[in-house]
Amino acid sequence: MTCNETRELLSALLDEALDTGERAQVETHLAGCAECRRELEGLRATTGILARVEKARAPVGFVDRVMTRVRPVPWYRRLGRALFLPLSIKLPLEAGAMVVIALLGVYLLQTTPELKDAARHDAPPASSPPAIERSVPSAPSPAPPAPARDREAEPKRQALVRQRPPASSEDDARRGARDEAQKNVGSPAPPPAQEPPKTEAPAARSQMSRSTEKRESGPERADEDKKGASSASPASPSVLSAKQQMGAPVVTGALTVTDRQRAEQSLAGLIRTTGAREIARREESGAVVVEVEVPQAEYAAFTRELAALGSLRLEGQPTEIPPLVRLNVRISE
Amino acid sequence: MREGDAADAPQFLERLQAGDARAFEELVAAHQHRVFGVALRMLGNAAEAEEIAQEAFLRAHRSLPEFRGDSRLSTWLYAIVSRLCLNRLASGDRKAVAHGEEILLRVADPRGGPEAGAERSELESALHRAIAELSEERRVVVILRDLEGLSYEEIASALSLELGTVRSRLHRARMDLKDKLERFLP
Repeated sequence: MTCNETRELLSALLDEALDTGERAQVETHLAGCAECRRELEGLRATTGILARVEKARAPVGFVDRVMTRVRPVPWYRRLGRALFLPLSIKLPLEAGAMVVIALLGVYLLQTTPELKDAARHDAPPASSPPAIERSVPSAPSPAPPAPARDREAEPKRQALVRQRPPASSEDDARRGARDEAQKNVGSPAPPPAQEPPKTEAPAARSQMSRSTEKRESGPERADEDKKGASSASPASPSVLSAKQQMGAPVVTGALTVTDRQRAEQSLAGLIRTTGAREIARREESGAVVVEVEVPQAEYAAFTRELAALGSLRLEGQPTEIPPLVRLNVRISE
Repeated sequence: MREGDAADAPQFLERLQAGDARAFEELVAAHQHRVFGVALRMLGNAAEAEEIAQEAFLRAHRSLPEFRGDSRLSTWLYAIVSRLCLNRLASGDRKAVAHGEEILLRVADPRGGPEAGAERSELESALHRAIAELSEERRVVVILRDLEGLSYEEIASALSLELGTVRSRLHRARMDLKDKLERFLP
């Protein structure tokens, strides 16, 4: 065995990894070769240094970190990763989708009237109270359902009746005159003549009472109510406009006469005798429009007398006559 | 018997292959230093070594159902971490590691004393450089044999090499180291 062949096996000799034959040949060569023995000692010293190298130690917490990665990921984390990772791609996409959905919702809300109305009705009452509530802060809210509203309205109505001032002698005289007229036309007693407006609140309260009693009142109660309405001050235009908003029927009458001035005088007399009241009057081109409020009991007589003044055409007549009928009479020649 | 050899008991293998997390935790605890040590000496950087060592255990966890028990668990883990290191070194996808940045090798010296300490430190640095300068093929063999104590057969099995190739590579590696450490040799 040559020196080169021997040196190739020196490492294996140190490790006792040679078979018996190889080992014998190497040992024979080494016995006669000082150079190869020096080589062997050098290798032995080198492996001795390597053997003294301290073992490396894994950093503290290594096992826990491995186990954290090994444990199955809970479903919610997997879902979160699937939804949001990679963040740089999915987050902008999802944010954009949300904006598109929101814009679509707003567009649908604005283009669909039903949705728009629903949104308006869903709004809290405090944010948009009805006009009548603004006029009469003490009046009950119209928002509650009908039975509850009736229960609330009844005591107030009674209190209102109790608080009314006793009828004056002038009122009595008017009532007498009205009774006379009633006999003439053969209709129930009309309410007393109107007085000029004094205050807003009592009138509004009476308007409210009327509206709540409309469903339940008989003739007697209606009459009492009419008295209350007349004894209290008439409603102001703002209150009336509120009532209009609440759906009071408005009848339009076109009266064509030969003498407009005379017809206006006759209408004023008719208003006085029937217990109706004039709300407003305005001039239009070649005509005058008189807005009146006629009690239910006097409505038939009122329109009959009106028709006698000239040619009358009525529009918007209600099928069921309400306690007070709003009539806009346009008198023209 | 080396650390972790008790983990090769048949009952323990059954628990591992049944997915027993506790058993796997015991396996990691028993072999963590060996696996990390190989990665550290091969890569020369502690952070990268931990990353590779963790990956080695994760791969082992995934491959446990296919482990047939032909070799010891420790040899199997050495094989995994050695291949991961060689792949990492071959990929070139590594952060630059400053030379001598970390003290990787500590050599025990029974003589003691300040002078011996300074000499030992010098030896450690020289040894670190010498190992780092070995080719990757030789380095892994000398690490598995002289630092981790695997037999030639185990190294051949772990690296899928012929026994003669292991012997040859190991001899070349030791000769390189001997030349570079000559001034420290008696």
